[in-house]
Amino acid sequence: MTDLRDTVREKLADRALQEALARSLGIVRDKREGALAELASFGDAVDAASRVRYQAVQRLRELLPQLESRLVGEGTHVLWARDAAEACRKVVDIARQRSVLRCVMSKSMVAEEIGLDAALKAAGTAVIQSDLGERVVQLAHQRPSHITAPCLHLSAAEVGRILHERSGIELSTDPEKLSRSVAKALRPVFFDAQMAVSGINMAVAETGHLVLVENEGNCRMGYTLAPVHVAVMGLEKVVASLQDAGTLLSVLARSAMGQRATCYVSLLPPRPFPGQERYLVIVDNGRTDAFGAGPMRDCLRCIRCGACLNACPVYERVGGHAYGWTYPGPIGIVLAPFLGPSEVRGEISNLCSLCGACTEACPVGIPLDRLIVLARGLSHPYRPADAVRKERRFLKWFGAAMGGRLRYRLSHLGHRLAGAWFPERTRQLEASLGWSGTRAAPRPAAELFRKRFRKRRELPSELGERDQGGRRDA
Amino acid sequence: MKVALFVPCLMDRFLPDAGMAVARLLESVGAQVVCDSRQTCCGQPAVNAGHPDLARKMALRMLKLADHELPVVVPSGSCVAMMRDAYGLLDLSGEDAERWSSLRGRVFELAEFLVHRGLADRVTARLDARVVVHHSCHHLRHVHGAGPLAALLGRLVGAEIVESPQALQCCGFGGVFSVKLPELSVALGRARLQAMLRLEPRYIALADAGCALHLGGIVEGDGLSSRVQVVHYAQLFTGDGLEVG
Ligand code: SF4
Repeated sequence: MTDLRDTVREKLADRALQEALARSLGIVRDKREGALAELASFGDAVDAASRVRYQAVQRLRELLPQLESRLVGEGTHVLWARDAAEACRKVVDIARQRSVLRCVMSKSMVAEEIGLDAALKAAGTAVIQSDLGERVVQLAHQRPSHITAPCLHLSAAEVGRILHERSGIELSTDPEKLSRSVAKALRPVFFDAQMAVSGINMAVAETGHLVLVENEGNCRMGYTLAPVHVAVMGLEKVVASLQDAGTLLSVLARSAMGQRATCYVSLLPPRPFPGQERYLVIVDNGRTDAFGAGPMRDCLRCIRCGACLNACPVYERVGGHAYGWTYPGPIGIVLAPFLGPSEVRGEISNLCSLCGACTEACPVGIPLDRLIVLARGLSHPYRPADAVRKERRFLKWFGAAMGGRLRYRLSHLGHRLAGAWFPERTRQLEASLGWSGTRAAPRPAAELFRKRFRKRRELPSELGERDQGGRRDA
Repeated sequence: MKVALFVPCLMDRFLPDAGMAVARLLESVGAQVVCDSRQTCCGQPAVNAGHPDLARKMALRMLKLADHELPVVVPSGSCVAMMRDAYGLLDLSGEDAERWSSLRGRVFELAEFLVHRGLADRVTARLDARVVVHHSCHHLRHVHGAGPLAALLGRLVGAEIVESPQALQCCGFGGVFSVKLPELSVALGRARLQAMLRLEPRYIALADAGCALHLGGIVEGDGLSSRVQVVHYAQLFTGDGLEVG
């Protein structure tokens, strides 16, 4: 990762990005508010969903084998992958065995996380993304910038231009028209595909159902038509029962994009369609580490709705690419210590002002801002050693200055005198801390509050009697 | 009634007027205010920077100084949130854990204290001015202080309190965030400020010293000091440090 501050500066200066983010997130936030207002008991729904996910994560060791045996019993193959490389290898093997030349992929964050697209391509299988947003970023040789809206960083005009230039779609700025044109262009791809790859939103341990949620119908086209369907999931995606899945569905779409429900909800029964082979690849890739990481385990509750991104004031300004890996926004920060590449594990947690808007938005009750503080604690080994040393030195100095009454006063006096005697140096120091120019640095007061308070107390006339307690110890 | 006032380090050093306002407001409703001058910082900066080990000493010191029975009133949402919740990140045990559990139950944000103790009704003050309240995030989401603050501000005769949706969004201070990513921090602050200025307030009132210094710094840096003053809300009641006109 290049210097985070430089990345942020660059994003702030990118007018087109700023406009696209402000516009899209403005719409999403309004829609979400509307959708929540409709459901009088959204708070209750969130409580129920939080419980469902909390329990599912606690019971992973029991639910995953249950899921496996349900699926295997009905003829779905279950493959386990410890890390990204193993997951890709297993999917590539499936493609090789059936000489798959063309694969259609519907939106999957895990596939993105493990780099499945590139792995298949390297093995000679062409991959076409069938989700409109994913298709756009694929054509533009970019990466998704949002969990549920991959091209949120682009304006409608840019999307239209990319589709026109890279795949001959008629030039337009109308999202409806564009998505119809893309759907039409993709039709033959679905019939041609020898393999469909999808993510899943939930896997039901008790019944073996795979639950898929989407708006475009591309996912459904893919898994219906292709002779081989490979579903990839992170191992945390399991839930206990269909009832639980329903509870989550009641909050998922509302939180995600402010819809009452998504256009399509697929419940794939554990037995594959006649004549079709189905694989479920269950990916660990750091999730077990998260499971064992104390309170950080809560990050496994996530249902990838994207609400925390939409609510985040930092995401709104820097966009998803600034986070440097698959998962941006608050959830990206808390997943990074376990799932992220080491180059993002150092600085990503600084993309947060700890405002807590994410925690407020999360439909499964993940205390995201609290976890971000913990993620900062885990980030130090991945940061430049001298930066960490400097930071700790400063905090130690600060701690010492705060460690006693006299030291506290002396440090205040020192600050004041520095400003008076060495104004230039002080200004430089403040500027190096970013407090200069457009944001004036705070000036130490001539007299501390405590001193003024005590002085006033010593004037007997004001209070009538002298309050000893006011002087010192409470 | 006796209350222990904790004026956080930033307010003590940079905004003593706000501290005086807090003390006077408490006294005006009949509270006897004591203030232990050994108090310094609750340890928030180190916790939020991801160095809980360096915050421990400060937190333990704070807990020791607050090892009494009095209600502790703090005019800063983020410090309240720290002492009430985030000390849980410090693995406290034994005597320290006991001190913490005692403190948690009697540490209050100023408006929260006044409202919950039924003291807000005794507040009488007048200010003929338009005020926008910017809700500091910790005060809003951890202390859930918006309700009490609105109730208290309802006692301010003559004041026109106006709401802004932008005033519910982060001002971009964020402690270490403000120095690690200053451009972003300022961009967020300026966006909120501009939205609030469209409402033409004379004062922008906050419940957190850090946010006040940050927004106040932008006001000054942008040459807006003659138009609007960023203050702690207690100042509206007592007039301490208020620029008029
Ligand atoms: S952390 Fe919560 S809000 Fe964010 S994507 Fe996951 S479920 Fe949604």
